[in-house]
Amino acid sequence: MQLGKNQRNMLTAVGFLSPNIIGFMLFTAIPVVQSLIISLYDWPTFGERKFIGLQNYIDLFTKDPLFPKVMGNTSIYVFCYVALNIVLALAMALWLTNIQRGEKLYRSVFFLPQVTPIVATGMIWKWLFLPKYGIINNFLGIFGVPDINWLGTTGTAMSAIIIMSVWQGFGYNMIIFIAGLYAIPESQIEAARIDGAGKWQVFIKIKFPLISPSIFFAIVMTVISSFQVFDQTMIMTAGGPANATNTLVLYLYNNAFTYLKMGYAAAMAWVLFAIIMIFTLLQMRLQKDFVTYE
Amino acid sequence: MRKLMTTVCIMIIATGMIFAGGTGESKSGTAETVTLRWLMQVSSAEEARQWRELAAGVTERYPDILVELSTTDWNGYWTKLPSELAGGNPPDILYMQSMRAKDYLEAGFLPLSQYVADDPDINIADFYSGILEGLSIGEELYCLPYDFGPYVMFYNQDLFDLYGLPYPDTIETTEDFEKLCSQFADHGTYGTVVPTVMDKLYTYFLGSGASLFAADGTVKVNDSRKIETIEYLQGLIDQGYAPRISDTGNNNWDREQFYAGNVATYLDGPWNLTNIKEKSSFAVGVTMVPPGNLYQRSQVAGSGFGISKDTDYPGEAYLAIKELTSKNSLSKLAGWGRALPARSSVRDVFYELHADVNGLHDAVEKSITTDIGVPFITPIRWQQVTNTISQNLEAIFIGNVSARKGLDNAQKIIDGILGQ
Amino acid sequence: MNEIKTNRQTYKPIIKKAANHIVLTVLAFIFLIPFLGMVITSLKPETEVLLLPIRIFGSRLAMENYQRAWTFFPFGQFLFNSVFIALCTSLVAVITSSMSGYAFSRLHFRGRDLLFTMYLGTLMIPQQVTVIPLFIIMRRFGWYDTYAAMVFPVGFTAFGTFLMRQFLLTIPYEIEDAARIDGCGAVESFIRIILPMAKSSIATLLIFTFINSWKSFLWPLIITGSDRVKTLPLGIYMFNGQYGTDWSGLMSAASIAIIPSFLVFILFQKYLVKGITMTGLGGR
Repeated sequence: MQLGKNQRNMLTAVGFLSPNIIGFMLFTAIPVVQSLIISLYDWPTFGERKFIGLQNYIDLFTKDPLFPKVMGNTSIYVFCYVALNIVLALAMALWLTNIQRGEKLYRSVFFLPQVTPIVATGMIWKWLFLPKYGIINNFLGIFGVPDINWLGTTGTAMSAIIIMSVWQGFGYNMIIFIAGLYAIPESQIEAARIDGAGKWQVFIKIKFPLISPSIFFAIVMTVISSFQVFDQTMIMTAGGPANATNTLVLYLYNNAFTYLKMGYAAAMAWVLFAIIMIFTLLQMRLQKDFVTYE
Repeated sequence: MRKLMTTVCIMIIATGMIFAGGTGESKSGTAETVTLRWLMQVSSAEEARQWRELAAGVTERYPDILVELSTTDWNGYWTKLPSELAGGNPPDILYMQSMRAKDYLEAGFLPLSQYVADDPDINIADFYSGILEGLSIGEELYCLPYDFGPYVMFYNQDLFDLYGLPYPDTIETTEDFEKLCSQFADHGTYGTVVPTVMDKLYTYFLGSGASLFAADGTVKVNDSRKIETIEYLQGLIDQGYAPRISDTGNNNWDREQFYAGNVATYLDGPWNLTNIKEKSSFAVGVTMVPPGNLYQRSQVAGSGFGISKDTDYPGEAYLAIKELTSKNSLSKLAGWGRALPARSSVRDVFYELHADVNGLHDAVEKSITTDIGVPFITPIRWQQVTNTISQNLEAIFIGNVSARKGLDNAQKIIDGILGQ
Repeated sequence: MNEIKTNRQTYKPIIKKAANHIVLTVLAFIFLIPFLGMVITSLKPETEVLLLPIRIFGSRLAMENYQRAWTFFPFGQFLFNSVFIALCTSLVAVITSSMSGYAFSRLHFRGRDLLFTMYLGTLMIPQQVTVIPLFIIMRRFGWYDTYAAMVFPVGFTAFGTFLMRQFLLTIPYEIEDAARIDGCGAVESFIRIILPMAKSSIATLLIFTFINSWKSFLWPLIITGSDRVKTLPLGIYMFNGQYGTDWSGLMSAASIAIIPSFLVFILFQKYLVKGITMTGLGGR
């Protein structure tokens, strides 16, 4: 009987899973496994290939002067972007859930960059960042800030990319936080108010703990996606100047499609995978201490 | 259960192996008519229409060959082409540019020398020899060229007229050129623009007697001649003769500055003339590239059509690209302004079309003479090398690092790339 | 004394509200500058786009850009393809993800969590490296240059499975148990009970899938050959020429291209917020 039930469960599960799992195997799992195999070869994107074991991985860490550079750039990007994105998204979500009217309109406005082709807005951002003529420099000039070649200076190019990315991306998390904040029962907030809690205290004591799972979710997903930053750097700077904005996936893309070194690119992808995995597991561990589930 | 999971995993890996080692699939096609697929990059709907007309010309000449055109944008082409070659069964006819040729030809393209040798009526001597060289590896030819060109200097005629300056036909030294630029600077305009792409900068190097490539395939960028050349260009920017680069992700930044009328002169090939006319609102003139401090030199580049190695119809594909680069096709291309034809016999069609452009004929014809025009034969892994150089040149021209330091840095990376 | 206090109580919130809205409007405006820049550029004559110093408005309203955008590539065809492919992808994603989400959340079988972790892990592999193996598989299927290749590889999504699973975990078991006692099988209870309850999370998945499919560039570039199945992003990139970009044309095409996906967002955003709330992604 027990066995029969198990088998029945298994059968139902197989039935429900099979459409997705067949597609998943074919279109995701196989290519992923292949990329792992490819990473063990000297695998030009086309042409003769040769098995070389872990040589690609060894080259990455010992020979390639650019790899540490792009790793550093990517880390800076991920750290700054995730922090700014989450803080801004949370602040705007708190603000928007506090106004009674027009919240939906503002929400749509802040979500708009998500649906706008980045190849178009990327160019506009380049104009905004232009030295001498750009709006940003002219605005800062009012406060006596000297003219900055934002995208052209190794020291500032990454900040410009981050600013642009936050503009583009924070609307997504904002929506998630808005949803989280709406889910908080009014009664709990009221109760705290009656106890004499101010706005700040309500946030710290009630709202923050209650939406901490969604903050956690947002951070995990944003970290994963920002490690894979590509479009922005490709379109805004192509990694320049002097590789100051060259990021891991951009470098990977160039290796696979421009330099035609598929095996090397695949090795890079698996290093990236390992990094993201470690980060995600770390976050899962931290989650236990910081996230409150009811 | 564990067994099940293991089996599943093994299955994935096994299937992965099979697919990974795969070659192309079988192809359909009747015995009578052969359909060839042709992958081409285009920049406008008009251009796509013109290429289709040439494809139709192939069928007209060889009724049992049908050429089916598929198009991508320029950047997309260089993502799509490697994917197609990697995927097996790539399109039969492929576009190739001389500057990228080394990375593609041997591994992906069908050698053509034998076909050409066996073909009595192709008249290969009609093609400009430098561009044939650019599309060959050693002695082996891989593509038939349709366009080519030396780098020349375009100038904004209206801007010269506006400030009452003589057209830059008589520039004989770098000092002359700097003087010209300073005159524009006096009027608050830039005299020229400095590119950061090595394909374009190469002409400057040649002028100062610096050859980028050694015979053994190594690339040297940090010897004193090259540093001097780069310092000279850096000087143009520092003195306000050329704008400081502000858009590092854009290979066409120098072109776009010229189209907009922000700069008076810039270097480019005749292939871009039609485009300049469309995108700008001023009259344009052409003259030879300003000489460097040692020589008058001009880099010659171009592009052509090749056949993918995996094609099932090499014979038909050869006939097709032969027709696409025939006198008839090339004179059509020239008439549309699409290309300075690679065949000498129809070059005049291009000059006639652009008869309104000052100095075009002389500048081009002089620049392609053997003592001035130098074919741009790149080493293997050129894309990675040129990207490295561009990245560092940007930093130099923007003023982040000195020419010496930037080029030293580039050299270090290049040695790594070519040493592998 | 008393009166003053009442006054304060009445007016203070109004002033505060007004101030809130003014500041928000200003912020929204600043936020929209890149977007406005796109629309304004789309209306400038092509030769004036790159003029320095930048002028905000062109010398005239250049509606011909929109005409050019419309004729540059088969705009109507590409637009149809984009909508059709995005809809099909969303449909596939919704059907398969809700089923697998159900299995991962509410059915008990051994190896469930391990399999699920594998699913999640694949989210961390960048697309740029799996795209060529996938291309080879599509070739084997004979799916090159077909709608199927544009829809299926994207439709079977690990993210969708994750999203649906998170939501379905929040539905109390008692509801389904009651139905089971009444003799419902898993299939019936899934269709009759679970799916209707999952409306808003389905809408959430639909929006995400639709927008992602709408923006997707790399995969369509590689897998399409003819104009038959190409989508709008490919058309927009066509303005990127070898010798420079037709910026005003590109901006025009981009301005038109955002309308459908923005409409989808506006129409479904009510469900989006609700859906996120209920999936537990949004908090509880």
